[in-house]
Amino acid sequence: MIFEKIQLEANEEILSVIRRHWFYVFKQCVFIALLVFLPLLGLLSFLVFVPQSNSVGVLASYAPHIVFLYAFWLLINVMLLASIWTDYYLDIWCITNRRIIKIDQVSLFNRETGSFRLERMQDVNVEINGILATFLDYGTIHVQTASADLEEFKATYLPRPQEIKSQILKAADDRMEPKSL
Amino acid sequence: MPNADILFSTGLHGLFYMATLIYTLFTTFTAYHWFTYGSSKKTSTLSLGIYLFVSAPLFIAMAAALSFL
Repeated sequence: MIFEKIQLEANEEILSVIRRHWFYVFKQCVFIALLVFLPLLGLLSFLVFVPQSNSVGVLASYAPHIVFLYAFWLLINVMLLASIWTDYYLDIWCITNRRIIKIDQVSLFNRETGSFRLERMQDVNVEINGILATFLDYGTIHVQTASADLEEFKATYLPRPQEIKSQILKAADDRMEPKSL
Repeated sequence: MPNADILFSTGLHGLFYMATLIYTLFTTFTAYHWFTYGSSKKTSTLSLGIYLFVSAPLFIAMAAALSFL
Protein backbone atom coordinates (compact mmCIF):
# COMPACT_ATOMS: atom_id res chain seq x y z
CA MET A 1 0.00 0.00 0.00
CA ILE A 2 0.98 3.65 -0.37
CA PHE A 3 2.45 4.21 3.11
CA GLU A 4 4.93 1.42 2.51
CA LYS A 5 6.02 3.18 -0.69
CA ILE A 6 6.47 6.60 0.93
CA GLN A 7 9.81 6.13 2.57
CA LEU A 8 9.64 8.09 5.77
CA GLU A 9 12.84 9.34 7.30
CA ALA A 10 13.99 8.39 10.78
CA ASN A 11 11.69 10.00 13.41
CA GLU A 12 9.34 11.24 10.69
CA GLU A 13 5.69 10.90 11.69
CA ILE A 14 2.58 11.23 9.60
CA LEU A 15 0.41 13.93 11.16
CA SER A 16 -2.51 13.66 8.79
CA VAL A 17 -3.60 12.25 5.47
CA ILE A 18 -6.00 14.48 3.57
CA ARG A 19 -8.27 13.68 0.65
CA ARG A 20 -10.49 16.00 -1.29
CA HIS A 21 -13.88 17.06 0.07
CA TRP A 22 -16.80 14.66 -0.57
CA PHE A 23 -18.52 17.35 -2.64
CA TYR A 24 -15.86 16.92 -5.35
CA VAL A 25 -16.99 13.29 -5.81
CA PHE A 26 -20.67 14.12 -5.37
CA LYS A 27 -20.54 16.73 -8.17
CA GLN A 28 -19.15 14.19 -10.63
CA CYS A 29 -21.61 11.50 -9.48
CA VAL A 30 -24.52 13.83 -10.24
CA PHE A 31 -23.19 14.18 -13.79
CA ILE A 32 -22.95 10.37 -14.10
CA ALA A 33 -26.52 10.03 -12.76
CA LEU A 34 -27.68 12.38 -15.53
CA LEU A 35 -25.83 10.27 -18.10
CA VAL A 36 -27.54 7.12 -16.76
CA PHE A 37 -30.99 8.59 -17.38
CA LEU A 38 -30.16 10.12 -20.76
CA PRO A 39 -31.06 7.04 -22.91
CA LEU A 40 -34.29 6.57 -20.93
CA LEU A 41 -35.16 10.16 -21.80
CA GLY A 42 -34.48 9.31 -25.46
CA LEU A 43 -36.83 6.31 -25.28
CA LEU A 44 -39.49 8.38 -23.56
CA SER A 45 -39.31 11.10 -26.21
CA PHE A 46 -39.52 8.39 -28.89
CA LEU A 47 -42.73 7.10 -27.30
CA VAL A 48 -44.13 10.62 -27.03
CA PHE A 49 -43.28 11.94 -30.48
CA VAL A 50 -43.88 8.82 -32.60
CA PRO A 51 -47.55 7.81 -33.01
CA GLN A 52 -48.65 5.38 -30.26
CA SER A 53 -49.60 2.48 -32.55
CA ASN A 54 -46.15 2.40 -34.17
CA SER A 55 -43.76 3.27 -31.37
CA VAL A 56 -44.64 0.52 -28.87
CA GLY A 57 -44.49 -2.16 -31.56
CA VAL A 58 -41.11 -0.96 -32.83
CA LEU A 59 -39.67 -0.80 -29.32
CA ALA A 60 -41.02 -4.27 -28.45
CA SER A 61 -39.45 -5.83 -31.55
CA TYR A 62 -36.08 -4.31 -30.61
CA ALA A 63 -36.34 -5.01 -26.86
CA PRO A 64 -33.22 -7.26 -26.65
CA HIS A 65 -31.19 -4.71 -28.62
CA ILE A 66 -32.35 -1.90 -26.34
CA VAL A 67 -31.62 -3.92 -23.19
CA PHE A 68 -28.16 -4.79 -24.51
CA LEU A 69 -27.29 -1.21 -25.45
CA TYR A 70 -28.61 0.20 -22.17
CA ALA A 71 -26.63 -2.38 -20.13
CA PHE A 72 -23.55 -1.47 -22.20
CA TRP A 73 -24.19 2.22 -21.49
CA LEU A 74 -24.54 1.50 -17.76
CA LEU A 75 -21.28 -0.47 -17.83
CA ILE A 76 -19.48 2.55 -19.29
CA ASN A 77 -20.94 4.66 -16.49
CA VAL A 78 -19.83 2.15 -13.85
CA MET A 79 -16.30 2.37 -15.29
CA LEU A 80 -16.50 6.18 -15.18
CA LEU A 81 -17.55 5.97 -11.53
CA ALA A 82 -14.59 3.68 -10.84
CA SER A 83 -12.32 6.31 -12.44
CA ILE A 84 -13.82 9.05 -10.26
CA TRP A 85 -13.32 6.90 -7.17
CA THR A 86 -9.73 6.12 -8.22
CA ASP A 87 -9.01 9.83 -8.61
CA TYR A 88 -10.49 10.58 -5.17
CA TYR A 89 -9.00 7.60 -3.37
CA LEU A 90 -5.47 7.89 -4.71
CA ASP A 91 -5.05 11.69 -4.57
CA ILE A 92 -3.69 12.48 -1.14
CA TRP A 93 -1.90 15.16 0.78
CA CYS A 94 0.21 13.73 3.53
CA ILE A 95 1.44 16.10 6.23
CA THR A 96 4.32 14.79 8.28
CA ASN A 97 6.37 16.53 10.96
CA ARG A 98 9.08 17.16 8.33
CA ARG A 99 7.43 17.66 4.95
CA ILE A 100 4.30 17.73 2.91
CA ILE A 101 3.84 14.98 0.36
CA LYS A 102 1.40 15.45 -2.48
CA ILE A 103 0.31 12.46 -4.55
CA ASP A 104 -1.81 13.22 -7.58
CA GLN A 105 -3.32 10.45 -9.69
CA VAL A 106 -3.89 12.43 -12.88
CA SER A 107 -5.10 9.44 -14.88
CA LEU A 108 -4.66 5.67 -14.71
CA PHE A 109 -1.09 5.78 -16.00
CA ASN A 110 -0.19 9.30 -15.02
CA ARG A 111 0.83 9.77 -11.43
CA GLU A 112 2.60 12.78 -9.96
CA THR A 113 4.29 12.75 -6.59
CA GLY A 114 5.95 15.74 -5.01
CA SER A 115 7.13 16.80 -1.62
CA PHE A 116 8.77 19.72 0.05
CA ARG A 117 10.34 20.20 3.43
CA LEU A 118 8.57 22.38 5.96
CA GLU A 119 11.75 24.46 6.36
CA ARG A 120 11.43 25.50 2.72
CA MET A 121 7.85 26.64 3.12
CA GLN A 122 7.40 30.37 2.76
CA ASP A 123 3.68 31.04 2.86
CA VAL A 124 0.35 29.22 3.12
CA ASN A 125 -2.78 30.75 1.57
CA VAL A 126 -6.33 29.52 1.76
CA GLU A 127 -8.92 30.36 -0.86
CA ILE A 128 -12.60 29.67 -0.18
CA ASN A 129 -14.56 30.80 -3.18
CA GLY A 130 -18.36 30.64 -3.47
CA ILE A 131 -21.46 29.91 -1.44
CA LEU A 132 -21.11 26.10 -1.52
CA ALA A 133 -17.44 26.24 -0.59
CA THR A 134 -18.28 28.50 2.35
CA PHE A 135 -21.16 26.37 3.66
CA LEU A 136 -19.58 22.98 3.01
CA ASP A 137 -16.19 24.22 4.21
CA TYR A 138 -13.85 23.31 1.38
CA GLY A 139 -11.30 25.33 -0.49
CA THR A 140 -7.95 25.63 -2.21
CA ILE A 141 -4.65 25.74 -0.40
CA HIS A 142 -1.60 27.36 -1.99
CA VAL A 143 1.74 26.72 -0.36
CA GLN A 144 4.64 28.85 -1.54
CA THR A 145 7.98 27.11 -1.30
CA ALA A 146 11.56 28.17 -1.73
CA SER A 147 12.20 25.15 -3.89
CA ALA A 148 13.83 25.92 -7.24
CA ASP A 149 11.88 23.42 -9.30
CA LEU A 150 8.51 23.74 -7.59
CA GLU A 151 7.51 27.21 -6.42
CA GLU A 152 3.92 26.56 -5.47
CA PHE A 153 1.99 23.59 -4.15
CA LYS A 154 -1.70 23.84 -4.86
CA ALA A 155 -4.56 21.56 -3.89
CA THR A 156 -8.21 22.16 -4.64
CA TYR A 157 -11.38 20.96 -2.87
CA LEU A 158 -9.63 20.33 0.42
CA PRO A 159 -11.97 19.91 3.41
CA ARG A 160 -11.56 22.28 6.38
CA PRO A 161 -8.79 24.32 4.69
CA GLN A 162 -8.28 26.65 7.68
CA GLU A 163 -7.62 23.67 9.96
CA ILE A 164 -5.14 22.25 7.44
CA LYS A 165 -3.40 25.60 7.20
CA SER A 166 -3.10 25.76 11.01
CA GLN A 167 -1.76 22.23 11.10
CA ILE A 168 0.86 22.98 8.43
CA LEU A 169 1.94 26.18 10.18
CA LYS A 170 2.15 24.40 13.55
CA ALA A 171 4.19 21.58 12.05
CA ALA A 172 6.50 24.14 10.40
CA ASP A 173 6.88 26.06 13.68
CA ASP A 174 7.66 22.86 15.57
CA ARG A 175 10.22 21.97 12.92
CA MET A 176 11.92 25.36 13.14
CA GLU A 177 11.93 25.55 16.95
CA PRO A 178 14.93 23.30 17.73
CA LYS A 179 17.09 25.30 15.29
CA SER A 180 16.40 28.60 16.98
CA LEU A 181 17.39 27.26 20.39
CA MET B 1 -34.23 -5.82 -43.83
CA PRO B 2 -33.24 -9.31 -42.60
CA ASN B 3 -29.65 -8.56 -43.72
CA ALA B 4 -29.69 -5.36 -41.70
CA ASP B 5 -30.91 -7.29 -38.65
CA ILE B 6 -28.11 -9.87 -39.04
CA LEU B 7 -25.57 -7.07 -39.39
CA PHE B 8 -26.95 -5.32 -36.30
CA SER B 9 -26.90 -8.58 -34.33
CA THR B 10 -23.30 -9.34 -35.40
CA GLY B 11 -22.33 -5.79 -34.45
CA LEU B 12 -23.79 -6.23 -30.97
CA HIS B 13 -21.90 -9.52 -30.53
CA GLY B 14 -18.70 -7.72 -31.54
CA LEU B 15 -19.51 -4.90 -29.13
CA PHE B 16 -20.01 -7.44 -26.33
CA TYR B 17 -16.59 -9.05 -26.89
CA MET B 18 -14.95 -5.64 -27.18
CA ALA B 19 -16.67 -4.44 -23.98
CA THR B 20 -15.57 -7.59 -22.15
CA LEU B 21 -11.96 -7.07 -23.24
CA ILE B 22 -11.90 -3.37 -22.32
CA TYR B 23 -13.69 -4.04 -19.02
CA THR B 24 -11.23 -6.80 -18.08
CA LEU B 25 -8.21 -4.64 -18.85
CA PHE B 26 -9.68 -1.60 -17.10
CA THR B 27 -10.61 -3.63 -14.02
CA THR B 28 -7.17 -5.22 -13.84
CA PHE B 29 -5.37 -1.87 -14.05
CA THR B 30 -7.77 -0.15 -11.66
CA ALA B 31 -7.58 -2.94 -9.08
CA TYR B 32 -3.79 -2.89 -9.36
CA HIS B 33 -3.79 0.86 -8.61
CA TRP B 34 -6.22 0.50 -5.70
CA PHE B 35 -4.16 -2.22 -4.07
CA THR B 36 -0.76 -0.72 -4.84
CA TYR B 37 -1.31 2.98 -4.20
CA GLY B 38 -4.39 2.91 -1.96
CA SER B 39 -4.09 3.76 1.70
CA SER B 40 -6.13 0.89 3.13
CA LYS B 41 -6.41 -2.72 2.01
CA LYS B 42 -9.90 -2.94 3.50
CA THR B 43 -11.15 0.06 1.48
CA SER B 44 -9.55 -1.27 -1.71
CA THR B 45 -11.15 -4.69 -1.24
CA LEU B 46 -14.55 -3.14 -0.51
CA SER B 47 -14.25 -0.86 -3.57
CA LEU B 48 -13.39 -3.78 -5.83
CA GLY B 49 -16.22 -5.86 -4.33
CA ILE B 50 -18.82 -3.14 -4.97
CA TYR B 51 -17.45 -2.51 -8.47
CA LEU B 52 -17.68 -6.20 -9.43
CA PHE B 53 -21.06 -6.60 -7.72
CA VAL B 54 -22.50 -3.72 -9.76
CA SER B 55 -20.90 -4.76 -13.07
CA ALA B 56 -21.85 -8.45 -12.92
CA PRO B 57 -25.63 -7.95 -13.44
CA LEU B 58 -24.87 -5.68 -16.41
CA PHE B 59 -22.81 -8.42 -18.09
CA ILE B 60 -25.56 -10.93 -17.34
CA ALA B 61 -28.14 -8.56 -18.87
CA MET B 62 -25.98 -8.07 -21.96
CA ALA B 63 -25.41 -11.82 -22.39
CA ALA B 64 -29.11 -12.56 -21.85
CA ALA B 65 -30.12 -9.88 -24.37
CA LEU B 66 -27.69 -11.34 -26.93
CA SER B 67 -29.23 -14.80 -26.51
CA PHE B 68 -32.62 -13.36 -27.52
CA LEU B 69 -31.30 -11.82 -30.76
